[in-house]
Amino acid sequence: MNRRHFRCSVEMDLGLTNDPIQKLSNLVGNARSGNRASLEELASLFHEEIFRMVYYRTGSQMDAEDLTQEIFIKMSKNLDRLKDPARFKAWLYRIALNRVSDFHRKKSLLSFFATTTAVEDTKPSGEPHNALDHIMKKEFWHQFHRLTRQLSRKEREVFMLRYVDQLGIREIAETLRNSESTVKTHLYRALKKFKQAPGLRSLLKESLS
Amino acid sequence: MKDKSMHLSEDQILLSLVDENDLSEVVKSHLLACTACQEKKTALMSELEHLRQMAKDLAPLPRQKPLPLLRESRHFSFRLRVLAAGFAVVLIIACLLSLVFFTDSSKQMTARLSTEMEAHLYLIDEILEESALPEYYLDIAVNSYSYFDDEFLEFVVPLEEQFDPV
Repeated sequence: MNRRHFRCSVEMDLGLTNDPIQKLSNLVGNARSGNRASLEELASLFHEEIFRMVYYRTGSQMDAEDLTQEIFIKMSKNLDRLKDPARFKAWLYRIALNRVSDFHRKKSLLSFFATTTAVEDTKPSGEPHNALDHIMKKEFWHQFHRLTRQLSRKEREVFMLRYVDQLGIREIAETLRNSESTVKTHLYRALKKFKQAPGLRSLLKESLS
Repeated sequence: MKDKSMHLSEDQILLSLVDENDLSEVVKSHLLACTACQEKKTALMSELEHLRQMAKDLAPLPRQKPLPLLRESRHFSFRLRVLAAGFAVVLIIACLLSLVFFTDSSKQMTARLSTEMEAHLYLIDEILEESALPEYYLDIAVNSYSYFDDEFLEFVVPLEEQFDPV
């Protein structure tokens, strides 16, 4: 083994590589072998991202926090089942999507029996904000959810994963266990519907200008 | 797109947003050269980017940090795996040994069974034969009580009324 090769292998073991995918793979590998620090780092790396992802789909901060915690617990328990560490993100998103689906299923079942009490997050961020911001925020989420309601389940998932969660086509295909061409078809249809959503688009244009 | 002066249709713009590589070479080259089509595409892309940014900005931050994730189950499962592996090795050895013993005992059992079967066949033959018992046993068995006449029995077990009351 030459010196350069040795250095590379040591860097990989310590997670010192510059390649983010390689770094993530190393972190996952270390976490799988029982390194608690790597596991904590993984969780903190994706915590906000997964929280937001869940929030976009539930609209409730409290539910999003609970679900995020559950998702990371599930992640830590099932990390051994992940075959390819390079696909960690897609795998984590799949766990999250499944958990969100379970949540919606449970919620609809409970609402059918009218046993839930709707708790609205009046001030979700916990930060003081003015009335205009509040109205803007409310209007944005209203238009956002109006658009997502117009999309079919698959279109909605693909659209949100691509343009809100910023996953690549391949990652989405892995997350949803679909082919890339299927993902592209759903994305195309969703974009068509997005173009026909005047409320959200005018809001975005206003905000852009 | 036969005419190069023709711009991309709305569908083609959308397709270019999904994956530019899926467009035909003619459409791709037109898109590269045409600023009007590029503007259309960029406008839509910036809308989508703004959608992502607004969603991110207007979503709250999680109030709590991720709770420390314990991998107890993993350590436990690792210990379990070691134990299971040990158990499996012991089981395999036991199976191999039992195989060896089983093959030996099966030979013995076969020999024993064949001997028993021979004996049974011999017995059946004897039963099927007429007067299979040896002569000595026949003397005991056939008419063995014939010489006990009534007088002898009366002597051995006298009737009650013949007793004289004292």
